[in-house]
Amino acid sequence: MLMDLLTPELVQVRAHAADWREAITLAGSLFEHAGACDHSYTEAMIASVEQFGPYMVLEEGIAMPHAQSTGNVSKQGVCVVTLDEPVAFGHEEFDPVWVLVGICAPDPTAHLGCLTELAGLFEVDDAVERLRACASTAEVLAFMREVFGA
Amino acid sequence: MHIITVCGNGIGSSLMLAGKVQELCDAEGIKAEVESMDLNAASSANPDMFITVKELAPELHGNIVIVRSYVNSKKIREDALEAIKKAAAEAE
Repeated sequence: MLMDLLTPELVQVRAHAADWREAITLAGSLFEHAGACDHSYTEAMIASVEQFGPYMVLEEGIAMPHAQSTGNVSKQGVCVVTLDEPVAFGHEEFDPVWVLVGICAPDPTAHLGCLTELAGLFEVDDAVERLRACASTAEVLAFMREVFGA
Repeated sequence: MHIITVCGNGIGSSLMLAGKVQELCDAEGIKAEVESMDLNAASSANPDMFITVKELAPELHGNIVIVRSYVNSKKIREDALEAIKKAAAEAE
């Protein structure tokens, strides 16, 4: 269950990032501090955007940074970072980005159930506005529980 | 019919897209086996159809359908359904 993974330590609200690299680093740091991955995974998420472009910006204002585990992820994780000012990823249609939902998994296939759940977030039309309006971790978790019914 | 959805890593965006495409095919009664792959693996695969986003399409060869979103069911339906129906008819 997605809400089992999204613990308070994996949420950061109204954080500041100078650019998309810093924004992904914020998400990666949450995973690192939670013991879910080491720093090389954070670097891999950044490298992935450098290599393949900003396709991880999945909808207007929201990105889902992730990378392939190379043994640098120890447990599944989902994190949420909202920004005080948006950053540009270079996506033609969905920039600028206010919300990052990071994912990590030691085994790519282990993420399937959780990702199917997470896809529901993108069906919520005002998800970005709702998440931006959250002033605390508790508010983010309450919103996510509302979306994911947990 | 064999459909491969593609993103850079094969584990996040393309997996979500694979789920959406499978839902779409099931709803339309189209028999399809949908899987996700990273760009590297996909470049040597030979499915009936690739589905991906504009940025990654130039890296692939074959029947490629471009979608505007990995996650929005409505956009995916608008962008891919006709092409899937056509390919399904041809695959029979």
